[in-house]
Amino acid sequence: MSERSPQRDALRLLYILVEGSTPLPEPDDSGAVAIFRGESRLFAFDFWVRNPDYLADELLDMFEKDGDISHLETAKLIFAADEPEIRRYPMLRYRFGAYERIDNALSILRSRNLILIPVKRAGTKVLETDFLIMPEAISLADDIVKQFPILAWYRTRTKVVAALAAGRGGAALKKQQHDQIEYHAASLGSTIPSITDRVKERLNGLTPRDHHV
Amino acid sequence: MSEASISSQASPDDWLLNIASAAKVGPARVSEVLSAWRIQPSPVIPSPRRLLLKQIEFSGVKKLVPNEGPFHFSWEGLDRGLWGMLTQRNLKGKSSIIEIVEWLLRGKRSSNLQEDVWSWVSKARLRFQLDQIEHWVEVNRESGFQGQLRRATGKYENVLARFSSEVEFENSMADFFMRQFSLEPVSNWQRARNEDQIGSPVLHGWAALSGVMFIGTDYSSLLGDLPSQSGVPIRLMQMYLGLPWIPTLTAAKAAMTSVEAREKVMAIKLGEITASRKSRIERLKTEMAGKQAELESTPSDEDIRKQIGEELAELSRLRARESSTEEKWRRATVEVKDATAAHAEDRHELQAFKDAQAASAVFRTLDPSCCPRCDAAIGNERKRREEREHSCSVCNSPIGSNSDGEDRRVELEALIEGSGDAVSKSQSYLAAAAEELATLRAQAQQKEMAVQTLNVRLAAFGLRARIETDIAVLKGRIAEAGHGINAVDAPETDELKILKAIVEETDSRMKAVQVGILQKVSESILAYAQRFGIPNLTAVSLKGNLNLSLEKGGTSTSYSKVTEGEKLRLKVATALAMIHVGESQGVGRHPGLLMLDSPGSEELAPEDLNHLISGLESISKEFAHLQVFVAARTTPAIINHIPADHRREAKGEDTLW
Repeated sequence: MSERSPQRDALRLLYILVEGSTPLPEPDDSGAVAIFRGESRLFAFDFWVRNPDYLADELLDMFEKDGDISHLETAKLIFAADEPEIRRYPMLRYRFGAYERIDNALSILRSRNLILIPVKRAGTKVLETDFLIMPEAISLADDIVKQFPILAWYRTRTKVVAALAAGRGGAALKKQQHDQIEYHAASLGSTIPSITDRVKERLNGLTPRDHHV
Repeated sequence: MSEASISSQASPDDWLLNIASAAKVGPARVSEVLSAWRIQPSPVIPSPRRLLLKQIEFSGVKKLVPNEGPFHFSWEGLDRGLWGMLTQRNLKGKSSIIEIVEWLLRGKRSSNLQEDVWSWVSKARLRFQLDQIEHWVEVNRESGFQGQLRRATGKYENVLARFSSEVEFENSMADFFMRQFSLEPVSNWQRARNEDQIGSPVLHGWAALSGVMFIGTDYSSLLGDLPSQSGVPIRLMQMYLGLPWIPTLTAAKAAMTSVEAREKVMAIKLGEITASRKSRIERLKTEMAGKQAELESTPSDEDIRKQIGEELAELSRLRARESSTEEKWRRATVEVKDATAAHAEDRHELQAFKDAQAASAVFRTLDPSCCPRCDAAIGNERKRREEREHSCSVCNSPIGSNSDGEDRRVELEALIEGSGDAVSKSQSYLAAAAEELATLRAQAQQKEMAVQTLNVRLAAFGLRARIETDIAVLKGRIAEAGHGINAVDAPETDELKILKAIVEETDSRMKAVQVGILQKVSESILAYAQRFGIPNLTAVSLKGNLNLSLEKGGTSTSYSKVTEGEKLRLKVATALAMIHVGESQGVGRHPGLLMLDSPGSEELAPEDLNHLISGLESISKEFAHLQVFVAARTTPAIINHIPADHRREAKGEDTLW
């Protein structure tokens, strides 16, 4: 297992927060321009980014639901690039689902003043589990893909996940993730297992239908 | 009669004994053969019967001719001597009179009788004497066919036969005359066209033998009008000359020919039987060879069990190899999986490393602006210290360079190459194991099937025993079919030998008599023929087979080679010579009636016809029982030799009836 890298985690979270955020109607007092709602939603996003096999499975569900061939193509690309092996960072099953301490990574983002982690303030719609996105974060996300093309994958992937989440809340996403039997069956504190083989099989089974389409 | 002098040299007892000794069998066996073939010794010929025509009568209606209408012809007062039917032109009815007489005597009409004349005649009657006994034969064709043959005995009249059809008529007349003249039908062997057929005897009866009394216009045969091969002319000679032994010889020859033909056919048939048995044996041998080959290719149960044992041993060796290869394959599968996993992990590691490096670079460019813990702003003093001391402006930790990152990347890439190598190696190892496994499994399956097949053969219990039984049966059949195959031959028979001896003995006896007689006949033929005007004829020799050889102008010739006119004169000369010699030697058996048709119609000079008629006249005077009719065109010669009351004449265009 690769060494932990808080910077890499911070980078991933940066893109999740940026791509998963909703622009604010107007910058708030602190200067934030967008908001990412819900810590559990963050974990749900993170789970899909770190587990391409589960993401591919969701994409195939979507494809079967709406027939949009781009979902199938994305799933195919995930396997073609061996992402379920190369890009997988397993997570632990915790009480409410996949969970990992992200304090260090968030600290990196916070210390660069890219995000604000608010506390509960009466009279506002901002909850303490929400994240406020500073304009520097948005411009940084744009700069990174220019300076470090190797990291462009994070933007692409978080866009896919954000589209998949489609504005749903953390609870809905967690429930969706629990629908995967392996995810659900993983015991508390254990690694959520790979479903690569099953999804690969499913994908192969779908290919002929692709030809029909 | 001088018959006794002939019979003295012809004792039937000697004859039988001679045959028996020649055939080297007992006389009883010879008698058996003689009676089986109805051969009787004929050392003496019975006395001849004499036929004399008394009245010829026929009537009917002529149609489609100038003088058509009813007619009635009757010629009464006939007796011995020379008689003539004379016309000045041809086709005036003279030949028809002879043919109607011939019809009534034979019971069968001559083919020379013209159709129209035949259709005109509705009633016909012939009165004749047989040895002075009066007979009538009459036919009525007015409605259907009715007729009868009657005999007058003293004051009584006796109907000998009635006939209501032409066939009955023919049979009745033949039966009557054959018995009256003590004649046997001439049986002649008609050879079959095909070799494997026996052929059949042909009987020439009265219709043929009666030819002795008629000399027609067909001169191809010296006697009668049938070819010599038919056997009839020789019999006719016998009727003229009454030579002994000829009926016996004729019957014996016919029997011999019949037996020869039968045995020949039998030999052919036996040959066929032998051939068919040989081909059957060949078939059986072929079948047996097939069975033997089958037996050789059919292993015994013991062999099969041994083979099964070998196959099973081989199968278990294959199974052992299969199992070890399977283990190898399983290990290879695990290795592939492990190598693939390791390779994936290496690639994961590199990706993670690269991401981390990049991410570090990203955040290193961004100086902290606040404490992530308390959000307090980082002061300028802290920032300067970081630049000066390379210690974090937030936490004071030393900030390292990124120089060792490159080493790590190279290391990771080497790991990836190594694990990738392991993946492809383990994969090819797995493929080899899989192929080996598949081969072994196929081989094992083949062995299993072989064992199964052998078990089935083992289950076909007693196949060899069945084949062995079949072979034994075939051997028996071959032996049976071959039994006595060499013994199959024409059956030994003494019948042919005896018949040959009969023919030889009889022939020698007949020839002993015949030679002298024929010599006299030849001399007489020469005398008559010379009188009838055959020029330069110096010698005539009649053989027993009726060959007539001639010396003419110093050249040898024969009857068949002279002109038609010469044939006519020779034919009449022969008939007269035979009657003359036969009667003077006492062996003559001619009935005494001779009817000669149209001798002048051939190229015959008037003086030659004169000689011919005078020859007939003189012989009819010499032998008082003779009655000779001549149908001819009216010539002075004929008128001179035939008295007016012995003539029926038609003058100019007139017809005789």
